Amino acid sequence: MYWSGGAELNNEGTIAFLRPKVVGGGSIVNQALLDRFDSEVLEDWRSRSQIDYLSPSGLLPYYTKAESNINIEEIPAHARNKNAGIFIEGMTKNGFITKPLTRAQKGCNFHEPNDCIECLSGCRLDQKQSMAVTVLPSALSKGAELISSFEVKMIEPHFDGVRIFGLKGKKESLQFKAKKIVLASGAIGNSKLLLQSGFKKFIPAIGDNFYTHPQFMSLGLYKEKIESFKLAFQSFKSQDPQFKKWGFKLENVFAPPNGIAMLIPGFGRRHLDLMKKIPHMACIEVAVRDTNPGKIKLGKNGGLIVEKTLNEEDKKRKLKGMEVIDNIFDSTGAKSIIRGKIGIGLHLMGGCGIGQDDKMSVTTPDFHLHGFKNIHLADSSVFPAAPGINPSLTIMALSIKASENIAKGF
Amino acid sequence: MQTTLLTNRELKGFIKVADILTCGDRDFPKFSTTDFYKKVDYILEELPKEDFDGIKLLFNVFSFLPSFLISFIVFLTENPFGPSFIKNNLFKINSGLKGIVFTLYYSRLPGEGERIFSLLGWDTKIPGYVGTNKFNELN
Repeated sequence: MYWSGGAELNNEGTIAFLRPKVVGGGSIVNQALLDRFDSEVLEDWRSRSQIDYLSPSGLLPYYTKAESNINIEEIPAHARNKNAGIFIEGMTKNGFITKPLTRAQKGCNFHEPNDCIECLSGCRLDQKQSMAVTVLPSALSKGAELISSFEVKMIEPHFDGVRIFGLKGKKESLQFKAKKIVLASGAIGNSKLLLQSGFKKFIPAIGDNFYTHPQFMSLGLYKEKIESFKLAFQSFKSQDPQFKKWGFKLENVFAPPNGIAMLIPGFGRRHLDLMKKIPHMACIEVAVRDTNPGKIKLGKNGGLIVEKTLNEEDKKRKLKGMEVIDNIFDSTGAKSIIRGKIGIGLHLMGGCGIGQDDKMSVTTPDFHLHGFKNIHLADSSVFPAAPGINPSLTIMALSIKASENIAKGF
Repeated sequence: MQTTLLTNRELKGFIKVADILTCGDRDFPKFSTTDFYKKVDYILEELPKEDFDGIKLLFNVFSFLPSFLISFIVFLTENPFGPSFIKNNLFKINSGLKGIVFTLYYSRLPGEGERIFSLLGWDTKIPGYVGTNKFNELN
């Protein structure tokens, strides 16, 4: 379900980017967490982009519309698992504030009970409010045609629109002609396509300012069974103002065995002995609001290169978050703690940032490429910086705003 | 499905390193005693060309080396050192090898894969209606 057989690595090999390769993209495999961006984030964005509508009042109608298009719920108390219990107890004991997560879901059959960690591979109950159950059926009913397994390799602007060249499956070349196109293949996908198509010579900022909220999972090992894979997978988050100052947030999460295997250090017998303790593991991750922008590039042979490292500030944020997690585990009786071996990048943002300045940004305030009015962008690639907040809802809100501008052009 | 992307020699090297990463014990199977290798193409065919060529070369080299030497190389990738060029590539080799082997070993593949999940105590369930939304199968 992900590009490159599961994950793409940064230039150091220390962060694995999970880039979905499914119709519906991140909305299929994400945890459907929804939060509006606050005034501090939007003020930062406005100052970077010089775009006035990037403010709480400017985005309010779009947040409201995005929220009205989907069903939003909190996880009911009876569906919270022991992993969530440890998180809440540890946070409270250490004097930090938690808050239930708001999710794009509809029921989720928690009365069954339902172990929704399975939903990381797409929701078999069709209750996660992904594109597959919300906007796609709506678009198809209005006459849209969907072509899956089609990778666009190049786009070419023409006087009468845009030519699109790609591969259906592995071999079948297809070409299309369109008056306008909307790129929505995410930070890495959009940047890669624009670089492959030679736009860098017109728009030098393509691929710059890539952010990912690098996430680092720690596992707490307990004497009793925790079974973090049972019931609701994720139900609480940190809501402490101190964390915002420290530049991170914490969430109680878990991963399937192949994911846990990648986090645990070592190999062979030692590794297996730790894997056997999966039922006794709790898990919390620190997601860093990264300050060091990455760069998406193409190598000599056209291969993807993602330069993304932590600077001293980002490392400080990561370590502080891990210290807090250690304290949470210690205060709730963990026997030992394993810090995950590799970082994870799930929130893939930027690379085609929005802004007024065509030297510093890629996408105009009207959501088209600087200098190319028929090529639009509408997804997380237009983010000008890391918000430190789950991006899904703002992607939806900005896309609604983009759609208004795009529709005006017809 | 048998692998069509690896030569017999590369397959030999792959299984040798897979046995080092997932050596099994009294209860858990050693990689080579399963038929997980038959599914390796599902992962390999998704790799970018440079990574694919690199991993084939590595498997080829492993096929000639004794297991203790492969263990030592895996140990080096676990604890990378040296200038950043070497360190970064050791990190990548570690993630690449583990990614392929652990994905096959810990993905509840029919047969031994299901037994491994059972031994781990991983008994997740989603009862009730299974959705029929056609988009969930598309990529």
